[in-house]
Amino acid sequence: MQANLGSSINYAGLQVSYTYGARYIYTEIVILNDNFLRLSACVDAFQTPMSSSVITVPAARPVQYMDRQGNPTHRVRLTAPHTELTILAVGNVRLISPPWAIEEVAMSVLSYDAGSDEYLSPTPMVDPEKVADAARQIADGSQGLLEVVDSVVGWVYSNITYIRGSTTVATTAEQVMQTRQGVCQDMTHLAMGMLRALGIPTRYVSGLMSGQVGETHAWLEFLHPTLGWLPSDPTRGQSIARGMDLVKFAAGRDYTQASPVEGSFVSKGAGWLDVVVAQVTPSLESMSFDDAMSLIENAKSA
Amino acid sequence: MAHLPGHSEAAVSEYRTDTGELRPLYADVMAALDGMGDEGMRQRWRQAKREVALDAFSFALDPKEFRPVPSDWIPRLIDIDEWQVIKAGVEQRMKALNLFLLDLYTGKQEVVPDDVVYSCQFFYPEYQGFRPAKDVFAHIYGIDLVQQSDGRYVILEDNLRIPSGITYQLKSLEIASSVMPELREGYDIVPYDIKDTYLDLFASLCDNSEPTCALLTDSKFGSAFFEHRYLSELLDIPLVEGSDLYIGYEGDVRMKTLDGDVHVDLIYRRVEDLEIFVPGLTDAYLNGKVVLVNGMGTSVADDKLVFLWVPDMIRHYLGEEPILDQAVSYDLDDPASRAYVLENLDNMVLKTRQGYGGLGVFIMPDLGGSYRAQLARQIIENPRAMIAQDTIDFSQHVIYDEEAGEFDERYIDLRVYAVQNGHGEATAFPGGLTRVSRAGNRVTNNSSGGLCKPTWVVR
Repeated sequence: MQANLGSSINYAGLQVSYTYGARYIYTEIVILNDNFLRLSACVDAFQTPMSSSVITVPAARPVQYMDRQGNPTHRVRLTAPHTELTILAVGNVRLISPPWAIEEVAMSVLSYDAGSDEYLSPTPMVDPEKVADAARQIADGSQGLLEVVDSVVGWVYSNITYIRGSTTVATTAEQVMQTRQGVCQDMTHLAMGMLRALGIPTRYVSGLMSGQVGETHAWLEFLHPTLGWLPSDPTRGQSIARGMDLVKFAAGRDYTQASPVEGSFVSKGAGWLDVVVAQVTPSLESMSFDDAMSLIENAKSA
Repeated sequence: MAHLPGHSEAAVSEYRTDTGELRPLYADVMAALDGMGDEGMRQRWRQAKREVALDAFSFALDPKEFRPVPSDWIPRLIDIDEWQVIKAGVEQRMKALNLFLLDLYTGKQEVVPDDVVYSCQFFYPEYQGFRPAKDVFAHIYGIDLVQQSDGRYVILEDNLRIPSGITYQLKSLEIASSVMPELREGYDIVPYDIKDTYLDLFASLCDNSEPTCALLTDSKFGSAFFEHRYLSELLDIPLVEGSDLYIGYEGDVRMKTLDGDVHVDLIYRRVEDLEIFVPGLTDAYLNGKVVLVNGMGTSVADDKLVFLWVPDMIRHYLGEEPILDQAVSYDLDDPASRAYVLENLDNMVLKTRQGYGGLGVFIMPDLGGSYRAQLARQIIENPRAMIAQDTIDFSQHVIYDEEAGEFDERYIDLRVYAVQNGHGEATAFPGGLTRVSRAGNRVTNNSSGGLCKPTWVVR
């Protein structure tokens, strides 16, 4: 499909089409496959979903609901025997950038209401205590909220080496601090832990990034006392992510609450992610499921 | 005769009053035991043990090992007036839960928040839109209660998936009566008939007045195989394993028998994962070719978090106030509740949402300090993995320790069984299964090593 760049940019921001596809392969027949899919663009201050749909092959009858964090979720259970599972998500979303001028807040007067406590507390993968000393050193001298975020995100970007496969989905912020390497998930967790240690509520965001073909992306949001949650992308060193190149699927207290695909299966054999494709392109329309399926086939044969 | 244990004012006792006197209801039973003398009691207990072994009355914790059901034979007595309240409360709750399940699977449910029900491990999206025979999901229901110090019975949890144990209630009465018939003298015990009630239930769910039914067991190595065998004999329906059933050309369920293969109308399933046992059974069920007892998807109501909304279900669906109270429970996702629970952790019981059979239950007053910190941490990290309940000061009863030749006191609970048939009528079986905790413990589940006790409702 030809993207019409001209018409997709308008006063309200940028309209993009997003596509996600993943194929799981199993060595033996799977008789039960239970998945929570957070693969629909969610509503927030900087994005307005125009359309979204999620399907699986083999087909199942999903239930759609908002999870406890308000993320659109599909619960899908496959009970017919299968050896392959393909998950497809397509949609169209209007993005706007966070404002250029963001009010700085002095750390000395920073305060939040009690509702944000859970974004300061430890979570299974982010324990602020464990990275607190480093956080204090890094932010030493920073007086304002934005300044602190900038120091921490900048430090993570410069000091953690992006190495694919160096960590797993279970790697904690503390471990990333020790090994100094990881992927977007790890850099996000580490920056989150440091910011929490400094009293700034943070949450984990998963979604897609334009220009990054074949992968989901992770970044964080920190809470600004008057402007609410603002996106920040440690992997790219952007303390405020203003590029209108991120499509947000889910936010949670850490990866365990916001992973795009969370599931389990019953089989005598093993299973793995065989191929994953992801694409964000300026467009007024969503990609068809057929085209999304071809993307997977092409990625596999390439 | 051995002496009764020293009276402790702290514990609530069902057979003694607050001042340590025997309750009048127990006078005849205790006098009869007294009449047997130590040697007599020992001999009866040994005889009962033999019957347990000969009948293979077992609850297997390890499939390689025969484990007789540990039992005590001093009956627990429930007065008929007390029972009427329990019965009404259980039947009310069962009806409300069934209406909730029907609404849930037809997409109309509004009592429990979406994110709570749809995140239940045992919510099955594939059954959305499916209406089971006669619109009843849960046909057989087990509910756990304890008696509080003020004498009221309080609900601890609901079991709608594959509640087991009704035969333990029966068998325990049967052995007690055969070994010590004299204990019953002077008591008018309310009788009940499980066989006819079950068979009527099955027939009420089928269009055929004499349906072909089968009891599907997980295997003879399963923990509740005794129950499967006993029920199959009692109900006179074949006991089958998955490999005895297959899906025929018409999409119906067929059972292999020595006289040829026959069509099956109803499966009393004692397994949860249909496809593992009988490939294609899910479709046969969804196409209305076979009735399953219980229906699929019922155990969403076993979720400890969903439990919090059952009183609201009763008000919403029946327009009534709940007859029985339930344990005061806290949703740890609610910041105020979480703060309260963390502050009062020493008086709480924590339960994992999906736990069953006493697994994943942490009784804080009985746990050491290291657990405390660990569990507090888990509450903060993942508030929706567990719920908290106020610890209940529940009743104790007397048991006879045959080896030591002594009486002892233990915590007891009550699991009541009820059925709901195709006409929408719910019926609780009088009494229930009294489960006795191990010494020094408050968990009474059989899977946690508890004992059984015969239970009488007396007029």
